[in-house]
Amino acid sequence: MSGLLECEWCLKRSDPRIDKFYSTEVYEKKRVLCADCYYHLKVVWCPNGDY
Amino acid sequence: MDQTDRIIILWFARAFLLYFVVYVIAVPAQSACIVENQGDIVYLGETCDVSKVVGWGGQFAYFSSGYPEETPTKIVDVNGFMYKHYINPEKYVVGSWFKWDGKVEANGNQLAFVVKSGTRPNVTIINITPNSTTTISVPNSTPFNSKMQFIIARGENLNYIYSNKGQYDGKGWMWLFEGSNEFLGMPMDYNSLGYHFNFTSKITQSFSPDSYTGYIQLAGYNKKQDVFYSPDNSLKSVYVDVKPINLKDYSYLQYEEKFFGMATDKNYSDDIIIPLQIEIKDPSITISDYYEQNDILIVKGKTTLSLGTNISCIVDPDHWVTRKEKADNTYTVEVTGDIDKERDYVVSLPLKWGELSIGEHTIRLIGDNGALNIVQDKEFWTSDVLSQTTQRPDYTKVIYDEYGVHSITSPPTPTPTVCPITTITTIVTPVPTITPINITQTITVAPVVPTKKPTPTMINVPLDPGLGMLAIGFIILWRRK
Repeated sequence: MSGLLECEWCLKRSDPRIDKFYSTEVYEKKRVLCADCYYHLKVVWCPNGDY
Repeated sequence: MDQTDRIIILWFARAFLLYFVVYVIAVPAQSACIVENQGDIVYLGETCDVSKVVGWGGQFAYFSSGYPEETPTKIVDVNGFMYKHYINPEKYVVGSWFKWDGKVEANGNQLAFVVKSGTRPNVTIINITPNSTTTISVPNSTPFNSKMQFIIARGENLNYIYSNKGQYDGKGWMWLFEGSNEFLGMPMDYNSLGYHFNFTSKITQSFSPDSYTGYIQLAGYNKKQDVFYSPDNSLKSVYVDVKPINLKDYSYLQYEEKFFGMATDKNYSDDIIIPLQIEIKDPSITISDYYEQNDILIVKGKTTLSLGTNISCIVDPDHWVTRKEKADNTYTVEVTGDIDKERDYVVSLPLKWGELSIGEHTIRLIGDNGALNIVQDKEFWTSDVLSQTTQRPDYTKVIYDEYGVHSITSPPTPTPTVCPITTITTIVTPVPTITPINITQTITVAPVVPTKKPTPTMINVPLDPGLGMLAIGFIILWRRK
């Protein structure tokens, strides 16, 4: 482990200095998501932000 | 000094250099591995120095009966490699190994070492001080026959006191079935506090991490040890009409059952038998949780170190340079809890997640009780991630470790920008005054332009009209001349 951050949705780990991560509220809890999951959740699945 | 002397000195220097390289550097390197002394533990697969236990016969023998005066079951030849001898799992078996010179003779072959399976635990022991003893004291109110159990960290120096004296004061023995016959009926010391048994660092270090059972045996009304272990590997009674139990006929796992059966048989024993369970664990400090609360970092966890051990905590120890800085940023607590469970600790130290720099950080815990010194590091990282809680994306700090996201700090609250207060200094330049004068001839007087800011000390002389007229008159008269 060398400082890799884990996406709380897809559990993929990557370096936050290289890949963008987002903090957003999912299921009433603030979670850290990778950019892919963040956009899937926000745009594709729940365009209105209702998960 | 002639040429011959120089050659002699040169040869002496070479000889000394050779001696230094061979005996000071090379020879100790032969013994760099584990040195086995008589009775020490060695683990299968280890390479160790057996020079102190091999004897002149150059062989080790194993006796399946555990009785070293019979024909050996296995013999291993050291073959001269006594400084780096490989405990080959294909040749050695778990148990006691004895020096062997090829002959079966009574009391002639001594124990060399005890082979165990598994790996040698990596324990850092510093400064083993006999005085740094943890005391476990069983209170007087404890009823007889209630099971005594406790956890000891390997390498710990533990003084066990059984203070439940009752009416049977005076003699007590410790039975511990841990794989050898060493602790079968070890006498306990006795004083006004109760029965003592000192598990020294060497003893606890020699145990593999496991759970061991045993008994405390206290003498009954006859003040004698009614059942005892005899060096001929048998259990005997003080009463001559009781038949001894020859332990050679049983496996080691049955020893405990045989002792218990004999010592609790009321026909020939009135000894008090108190069950004992000792769990030997590797010394450890684990962090179960860490979090920030009201600008305080709280670190919680468990340890196998004894009660009263000091646990110190410092965040980013390498960040602090001087000893004083390190000391000022180290916070220490004592281990609390129960003797029969892993102990607890809670350390709190001033720290704000938000003030941590982006990157890697370390929480270092140091457990020290004089006999053991354990250092446990916990690494975690901080990173900025985009926060979408507000309309305009902003950054928030996330704390994470090898298990994932640990905590997310609140996004920064936007604060109104306040313009810096600036002081404007106004310099007022005085305007020169022109006094009109009535003359027949027009004279243009150029206004006086100050070249520098007039100083407060400057004296302004008012222009008198009378003097002006007089001066003009003089000029006219002079020009007419």
